Amino acid sequence: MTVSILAPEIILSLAGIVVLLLSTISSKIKNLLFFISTTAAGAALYFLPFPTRTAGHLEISHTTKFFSILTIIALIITLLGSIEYTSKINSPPGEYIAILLWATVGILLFLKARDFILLFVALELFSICLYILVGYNTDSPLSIEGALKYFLMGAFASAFLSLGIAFIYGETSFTRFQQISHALARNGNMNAELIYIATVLILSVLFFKLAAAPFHSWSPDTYQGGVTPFIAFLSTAPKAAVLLVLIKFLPVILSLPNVTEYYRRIIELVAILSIVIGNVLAFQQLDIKRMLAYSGIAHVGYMLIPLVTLDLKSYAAPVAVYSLAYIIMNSAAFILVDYIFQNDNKPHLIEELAGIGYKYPLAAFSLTVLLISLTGLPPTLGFIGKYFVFLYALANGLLHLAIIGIVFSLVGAGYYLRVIYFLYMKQDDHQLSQKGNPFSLLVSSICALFVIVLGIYPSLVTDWIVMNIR
Amino acid sequence: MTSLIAIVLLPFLGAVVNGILSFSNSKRAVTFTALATTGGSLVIALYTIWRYLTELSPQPIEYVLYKWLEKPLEIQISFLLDPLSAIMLFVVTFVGFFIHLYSTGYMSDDEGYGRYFAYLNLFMGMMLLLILGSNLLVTFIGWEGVGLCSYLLIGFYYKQDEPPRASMKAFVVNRIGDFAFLIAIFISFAHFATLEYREILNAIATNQQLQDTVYIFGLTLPALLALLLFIAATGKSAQLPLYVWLPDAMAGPTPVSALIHAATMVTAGVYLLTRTNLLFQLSPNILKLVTLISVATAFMAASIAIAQRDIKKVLAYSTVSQLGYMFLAAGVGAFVVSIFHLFTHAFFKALLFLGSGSVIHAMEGEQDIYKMGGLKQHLPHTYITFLIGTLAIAGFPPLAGFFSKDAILAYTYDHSKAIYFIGLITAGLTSFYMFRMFILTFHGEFRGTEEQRKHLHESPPSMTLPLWILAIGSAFVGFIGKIPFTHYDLFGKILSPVIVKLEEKAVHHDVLHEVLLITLSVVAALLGLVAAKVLYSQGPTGDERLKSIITAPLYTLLKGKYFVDELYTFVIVTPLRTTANILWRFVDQLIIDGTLHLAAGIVQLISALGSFTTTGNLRNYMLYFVIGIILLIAYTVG
Amino acid sequence: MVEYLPIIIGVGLAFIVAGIIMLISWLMGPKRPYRTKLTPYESGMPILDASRKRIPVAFFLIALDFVVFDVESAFLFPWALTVRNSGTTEFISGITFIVVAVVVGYLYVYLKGGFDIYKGNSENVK
Repeated sequence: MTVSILAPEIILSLAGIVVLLLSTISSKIKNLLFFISTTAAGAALYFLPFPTRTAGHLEISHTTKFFSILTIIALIITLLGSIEYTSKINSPPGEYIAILLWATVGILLFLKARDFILLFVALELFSICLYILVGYNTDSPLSIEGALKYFLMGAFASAFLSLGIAFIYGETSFTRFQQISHALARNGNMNAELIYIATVLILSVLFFKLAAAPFHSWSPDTYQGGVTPFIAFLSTAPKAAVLLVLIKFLPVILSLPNVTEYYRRIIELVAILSIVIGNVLAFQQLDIKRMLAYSGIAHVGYMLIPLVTLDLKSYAAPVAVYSLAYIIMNSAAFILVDYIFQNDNKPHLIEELAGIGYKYPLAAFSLTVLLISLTGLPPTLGFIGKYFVFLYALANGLLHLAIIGIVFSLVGAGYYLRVIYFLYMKQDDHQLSQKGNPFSLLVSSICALFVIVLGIYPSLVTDWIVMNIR
Repeated sequence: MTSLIAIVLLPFLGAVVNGILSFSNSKRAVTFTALATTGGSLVIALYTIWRYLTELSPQPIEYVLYKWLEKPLEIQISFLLDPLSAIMLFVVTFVGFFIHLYSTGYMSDDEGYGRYFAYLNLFMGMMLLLILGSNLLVTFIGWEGVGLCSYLLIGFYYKQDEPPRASMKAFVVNRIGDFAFLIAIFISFAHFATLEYREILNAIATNQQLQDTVYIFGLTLPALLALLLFIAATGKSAQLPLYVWLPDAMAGPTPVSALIHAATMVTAGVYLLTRTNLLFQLSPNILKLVTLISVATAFMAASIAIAQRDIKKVLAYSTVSQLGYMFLAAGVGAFVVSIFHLFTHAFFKALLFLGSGSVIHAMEGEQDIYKMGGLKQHLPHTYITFLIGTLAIAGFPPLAGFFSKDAILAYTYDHSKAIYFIGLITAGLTSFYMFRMFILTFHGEFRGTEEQRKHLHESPPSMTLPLWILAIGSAFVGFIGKIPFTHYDLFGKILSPVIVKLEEKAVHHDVLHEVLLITLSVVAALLGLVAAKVLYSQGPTGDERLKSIITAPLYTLLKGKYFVDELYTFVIVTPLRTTANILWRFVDQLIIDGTLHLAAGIVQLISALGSFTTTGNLRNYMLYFVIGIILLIAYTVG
Repeated sequence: MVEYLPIIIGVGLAFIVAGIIMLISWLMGPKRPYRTKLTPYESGMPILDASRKRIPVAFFLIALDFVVFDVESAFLFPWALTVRNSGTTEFISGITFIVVAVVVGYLYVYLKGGFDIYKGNSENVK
């Protein structure tokens, strides 16, 4: 029986239900709800199944376990960072927490999926939850605009996904990855062009969920308007999950003969476009959330670089290291943006950060650390991530990608360090509101600490990753 | 050797805690943290050193804390305990702790108390990294770290005009040396794919071809590395031509001058030379350069010191001169003696600086020795300890300075008679300027204001205790070195595994020679003492008589510090400014700015195009999505 | 494309048959238009009010709840057909589904006041 395999999902689902029911009883138990949900997340982390490589619909391996851990970490960061936020908006906190938990359930299932049906259902489960949460701040037109755009684009993309799956099913009459892979390798009298187009459709949808260029157009609007602490989740967990699915999906489609080079070129093009477009457009942004959205596009580009090798045995490790770095630093950065700005109903202008370094010393210092890490300077985790990616690229003869990546990292330094410049070098002429929630500050400071500790002592995690993730 | 980690981490911990405490006003907590961390570090260090040196045959111990990055860019944070680093460890923790103790008294009225100790603790941690690092990189981290702390502490009184300027000068001048250090690191890594001292030195020692082949500019690889490391050392250890920052660095608090700019940081260059002594021994030309530069530095700084009025400036030039002695010893191949002089110098120079701090404390910040005098009665403890320090630095037997300086001169005598005589004259000058300062400060009539006279008082025990400890050290540590007329040499025995012996060149003087050499150096010191006594027993008017003896132009030259600062301003700074101005006008504004504006324009254009696509219209976004898919298919298939 | 021919023929037939029926009724039906016949109800009953009136949103909410529960009950249908022949796992899964989706969902909507139209209108906006 697979109940123990699904223990984290079951725990989180039940916790969602409990939170939902409790929230109807009284409106004064918000902290209890957050306590329950955080505990459930901790329990889910504890009950993550031992890697056994189970066959069937579900894959349980070290890799899925690692990405599940990343997802739950993002969940915990988001939960702790949302406590203050949910009491300020005009929508009840119970649903927010429950939907967030269910989104996590969807992502966890998505990670484990080895079957297109389950993949699609899980994708829709977390996608719909994400659509709702982006627009959870119903007071803000920006929030609703972002949610609506994300929803309509997402529905549009889902149509392509189901079309791609349908094509593949039509040609192979299988939905399970392994069987499809066998069928493709045997290559009976199938329509290879149709299958190729189907795989490109599926890849496109995955790139869309990653917000990789040229499928990125939704992300700046969505991030800018969306509920800030929730964007900490949206910008990290689904991206890492989709990357893992990409890692699992590539071996399947590579069974298709004669088109390997095509896939390499697709991923290469998307990676380069993401790095270039993300970094160049991030430079122009005045709103820090938009800036982080574009820089997130660039980060996806970096994470795609190892996949260009199509070396199924080794490309997962650098992606995993980078994902770890990205999840911690990006989610904590959004939490800090919310902590510092407090008001989500107007734009989060970078120039309003002037003098924050002296007003909220710890918050500004943590944000500085995170931004330095996002830039990729040592001794931070962000540097380790980039180091692994570029080293891998160089070792596999992708010199041009490494050069493009490094050159545009320098562009990245321009806009990240500009924020630090505003934090410390500019005089304080704006009045920002009262102190935020200590939990937001606590969780993001811990993240900043982790970023430094793991930057100084990376082998704490990288040794394990290099050994187990493939 | 987990104790090494504790030794290094404790001061860092103290720095963090004090940094946080500096926001509160709890001086007691700061005092406790500072003393507990450095004291703990000292105790553990003493225990570790004792355990290590009492082993029958101490082998170098490497402790890899962890690997930061794996191969191919293998960088590890690792520590090395060998006799050399053990001795340095002793100096840094011992002197460091007592200067911390002293500082609790000296800085007690300062509003930046917490900040001061945060910096000072950070300095201790960085200095320990420097001396304990087992590879060039860890040493370099410490090297830059102590440079940073030095910068912060010189500029500690940032509200005045002079300190920030001096700190900037120190930083900029040091950068020149650091640059050479960095190049040395890059070259080592390029050739040996490692930064570990042991591996690099092994690779060089076992590769005869490497030692003989000319690498670049007529230098072999070891010689090039030695030259670069020596340039790095001239910056940090204030040798010609980069010594100019050290006298200005006296703008910082006096205990800082004692710890950083006398006892520990400035000796890092000597340490570095000894650590890589194989490179130097393989390149005689570089050693010759070291000898020449060091003896010139020693003499020049000593001669400047005789005409200075500021008590700390005299001591600063004295430090430069003594560092010259250390490099001189290294230059003639006597690395053991070099470290031995470093060891004794740390005691008596720290003592002298702390004593001067006690004087300045009593005189309410007055540093001009013309305005002192007769402090003997008011500051008895300071007086006696200062006297011991002065005798020690002047080289009177049996104090510490005598042993180390005599050993240096003896080795130099073997090497070159001319250099020996310059060294001897410098020793006489040292004695002269020290006693000049001593007499002007403590003897004769009090020349300060009435207000200062009322304020005169002996310093609190927290300040006099370190003075006494260091005075005892200055008096007796000489005996662990080579004792004249005997073969007893504890220091040399301890250090011998570290020093590579390419050829046997120990000094075997007959007794007659040895007596001659010792007599000469004692006579030189005595002459200096007598001259100072004769000239200055009537107070500062002695300077007029000195001027008439050595002729006015020479005196002006000395008083003006050979006008090196002015020379640098004229030769380097002004042309640099002019060039910079021209570059700014034409290259920068015209070419670079033009290019940048063009690039910015292009980026603007791209961004405008980008913004054009970011319409915010959903139908456009959906169109992009479809175009994206078509693009992917067309790009691959088409 | 040959295999799709029957479908195309079928679709074509459907259109043709429908068109023919409409054509026949239009040709053969009697056409006697007069004022009363042309009113919306073709019987002389007057229109009382505008037909596109605004309806309280609570109706829609209840309608949505109904659709959700209706769809959920539709899921039960195949389960009920097969549960007899399958094992306990399937039985437990079905029961869990009923409990979680239907009972808990109903409970939640009830606790939120979703079935209380008038109360819901005034208070449950929050």
